[in-house]
Amino acid sequence: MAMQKFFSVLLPDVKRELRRGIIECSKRGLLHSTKWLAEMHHGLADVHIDNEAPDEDRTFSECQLEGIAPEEYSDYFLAKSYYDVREYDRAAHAVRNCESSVPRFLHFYSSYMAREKRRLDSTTDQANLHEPNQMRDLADLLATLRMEYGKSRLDGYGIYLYGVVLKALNLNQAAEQMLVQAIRLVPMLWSAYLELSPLIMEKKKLLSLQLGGHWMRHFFMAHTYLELYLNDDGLKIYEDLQASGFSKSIYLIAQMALVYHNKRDVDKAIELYQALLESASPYRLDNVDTYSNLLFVKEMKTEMAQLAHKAVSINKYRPETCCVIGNYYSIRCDHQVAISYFQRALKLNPK
Amino acid sequence: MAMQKFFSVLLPDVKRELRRGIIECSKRGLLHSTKWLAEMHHGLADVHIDNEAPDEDRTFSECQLEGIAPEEYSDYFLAKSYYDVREYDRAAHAVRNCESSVPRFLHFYSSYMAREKRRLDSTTDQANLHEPNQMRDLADLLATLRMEYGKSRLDGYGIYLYGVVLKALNLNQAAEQMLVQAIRLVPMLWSAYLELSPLIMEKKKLLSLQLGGHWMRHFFMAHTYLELYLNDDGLKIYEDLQASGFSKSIYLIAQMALVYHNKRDVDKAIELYQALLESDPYRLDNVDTYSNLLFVKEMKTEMAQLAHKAVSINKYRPETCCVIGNYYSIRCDHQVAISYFQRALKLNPKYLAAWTLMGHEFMELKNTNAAIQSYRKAVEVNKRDYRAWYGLGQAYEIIKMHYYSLYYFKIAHQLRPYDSRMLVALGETYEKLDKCENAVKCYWKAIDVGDIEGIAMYKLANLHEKLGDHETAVHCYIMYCEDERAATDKQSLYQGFITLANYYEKKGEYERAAYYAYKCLDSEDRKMEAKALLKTIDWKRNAEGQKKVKTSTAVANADTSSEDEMEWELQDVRVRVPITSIATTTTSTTTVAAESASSSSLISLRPDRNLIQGMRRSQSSRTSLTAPASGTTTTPSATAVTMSTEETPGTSGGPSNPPEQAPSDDNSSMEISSVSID
Repeated sequence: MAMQKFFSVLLPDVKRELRRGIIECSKRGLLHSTKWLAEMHHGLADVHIDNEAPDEDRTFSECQLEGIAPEEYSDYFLAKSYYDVREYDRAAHAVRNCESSVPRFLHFYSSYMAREKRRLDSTTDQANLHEPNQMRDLADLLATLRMEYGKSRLDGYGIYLYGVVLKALNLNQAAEQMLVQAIRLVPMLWSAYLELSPLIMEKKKLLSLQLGGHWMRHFFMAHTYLELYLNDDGLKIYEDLQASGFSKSIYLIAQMALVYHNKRDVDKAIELYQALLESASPYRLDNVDTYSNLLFVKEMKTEMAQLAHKAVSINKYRPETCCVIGNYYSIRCDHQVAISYFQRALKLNPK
Repeated sequence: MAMQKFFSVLLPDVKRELRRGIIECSKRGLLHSTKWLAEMHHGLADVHIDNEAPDEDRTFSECQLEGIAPEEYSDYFLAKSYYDVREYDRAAHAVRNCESSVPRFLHFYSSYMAREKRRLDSTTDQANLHEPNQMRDLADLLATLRMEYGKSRLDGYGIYLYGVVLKALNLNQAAEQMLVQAIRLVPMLWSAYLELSPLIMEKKKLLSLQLGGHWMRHFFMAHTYLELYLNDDGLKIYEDLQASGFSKSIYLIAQMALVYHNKRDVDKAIELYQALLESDPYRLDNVDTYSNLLFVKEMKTEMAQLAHKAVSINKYRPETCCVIGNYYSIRCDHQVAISYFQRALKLNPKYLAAWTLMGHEFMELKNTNAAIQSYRKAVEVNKRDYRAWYGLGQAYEIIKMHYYSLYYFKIAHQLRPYDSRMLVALGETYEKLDKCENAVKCYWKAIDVGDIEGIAMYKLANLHEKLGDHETAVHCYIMYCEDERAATDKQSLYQGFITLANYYEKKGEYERAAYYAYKCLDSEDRKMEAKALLKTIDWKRNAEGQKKVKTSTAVANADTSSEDEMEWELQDVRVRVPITSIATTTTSTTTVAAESASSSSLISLRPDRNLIQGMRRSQSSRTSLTAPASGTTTTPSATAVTMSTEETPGTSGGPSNPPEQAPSDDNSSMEISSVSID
């Protein structure tokens, strides 16, 4: 494919980088990053790089074990298996004495996830986001990470987590610095961009960030423009990305739908969401809450009922599902029941 | 490491195989298998194979991509990432058109997991395990897998899943065949062994399985022996595995603790669980079993600490809910305990222990019907759970449906043929059904296999007494009372003592009677009765002594030379002789009157005391019967019912006493007359 001025990386190289990113994030338990990267990778299905089998093998082999010291294989595999079944405290404990970068990151990240899980489990109906106990809980972890950072013992992933914890404790200025640093070190870590985005309050700030020249920055810029409701700026970037070879990306189609939603082009937005649901990804629940808002505005009761039924059959305890059901009852003027479902959504995800 | 005959594989090879297994299971989303393998791998941390870096790299690289066609990488990675965040339907859809083995397995497995998730999410408080919709849901998947299998398009992992679905639909015979086949093809798939194990109902079947010669079979054999409560067989294998190089395995230590729990070596089991908690402080596997042990030992402080710890680690895990349930139960807050067991079942409807524990709690609340429902669910989940069958037997006993009790106790006994508690329960039920011959057989068999509760001989004695066979009853009481330390129920022991004392008193063997009566002085409930009996014995001894003196002075002198005690009594008699005849007669008459009054009191009080004693005996009996098995005590209702049953023999026993006493009184009167005449 010819080089583009806007997107100046060859797609085969992009695909290889995505693949490596998938492995690196997966190893560390960064599951939502892995998912995003895998969706992007899938959108490049027509880009062929797989005839280079021997090289491919080497790439994967280096990738899989890189950052894990041989003498720490036992501890790492044990911890990762606990992490995968969500025994976070146990995972953190299993790699508490490890020194190589991947197990050590898994130790810190598991510790963080254990605290997040406890916080979520203890959420009351009032959804108090800043209970003293949880703040203290994270403060311990913050102190540890700060010390590690001071000794230059955190890699890009570790610095990302440091930024996440700072942000959780409302230390936003420091969080911003750490997240930018993490992005420069690990440009394929999508979670870092997502954590940084809400800290950007205006376009001027966004343009001043020193993120380096990696192609991933385009996705970040577009995403943040949408968050700032600078929809036309975001749309422009997404159109350019589509033209650069990402036209089949599930994520991109979903984001375009969101743009039209924000621009209040309801019909166009609905059209795109329906396209997503019909063929591309019939079991997808990401953004179905936004889609249900659009159906509400258009008073499309039948489609709303169908969407609610579908969402429940896929995952009845997901926050997006609860919002869809809430909108369904709301469109039928059953507001009390609607409230109970919105409350449930908040219980499942207080943020 | 040297080769072992028992375990004939080099440990470095085992470690490599474990590592490969971890990757293979992990990439297919078989997370609990991965966890088990990783724990085993960790237990071999001291086995070194990592200096072969280049080979190692190749192993991982081959492993990681093996079974995934290059053109299917995109679909596979997408599906796996959805799977990892539990979007199962989405994962299945992403690889719906794949042909290579790993993505295709992921398609089927994700489909299965999506259905399981829906079923779990739709679980109601009644926790119906076989709702029609879910059965239909799985039936579709079954049809697909059957078709794939028919075309030989399922690999070992796919055949494993086929077996799982068959089993979920209760097609157990076919499930067994598929799981065995899967194990032969993929011997490192621990999940397959775990799914197969509950389908093995007896040792003979276990030994006949054709699993191949892979070393993993040892872990399966040991695990299944424990499931069959063949604890010594399991222990032997675990000890051999420890000696073969797995001594640091977390899993092995946990299983050893379970063995000792099953063998009722509570202290040893607790010791091992505590060691596990210290080395693996965030582990929640088996904490429910550990909490049962704490319950049995009534270790309230440790129970509270464990509950607090479990909640802080993961408050919504079924094991945590069971620990909290046991915590509230040990504090006799049974209603709250039930709510936590219900929560555990909501989180995992197949959580066997919670069904059984909830049954026990309902028994405490005298809600027999609810208890029966819980126990039924437990045996539905696992037909081999003798505790639930035993619980059913107890529940029907409370509502006096003794034929039902008999049925359920028989099943419990079949599952635990060498457990005396099952036999004692059977014996009691046969008694209530007036099948005394069978009851006798059960009690004797309980004694033969080793009477855990130390109650069977007492039951035999009691039964023979009711049947009027006093000689045999006494024989049994003597055996029961001989080993005081073995008797766990002090009330029953004292009952034995007083019965023997009364028996010998009637036979005129005053020394033996006094021996047993003195032992009863230690019992608050039996003290007064014993004192009264001792007075009777003393009086009778005095009466006989006087008679001898009157008959022959020479004979009396001979007695004096042989017994110090007798000499003392004779001296008293001599002192009395010089007193005028009228005074002597008056004294004797007064004494006789007093003794007669005492005898009358004894006769009238005896039935009441028997009833009271019966109640206490029943309470103690229930406690000892149920506590070891379940960690809970029986309900007051059970006691009440048993007491009412005791009333009948007690009442019939009452009238029989006066006739026995009357002849004795007559004899006393005659003796008194003789004295007067003299």
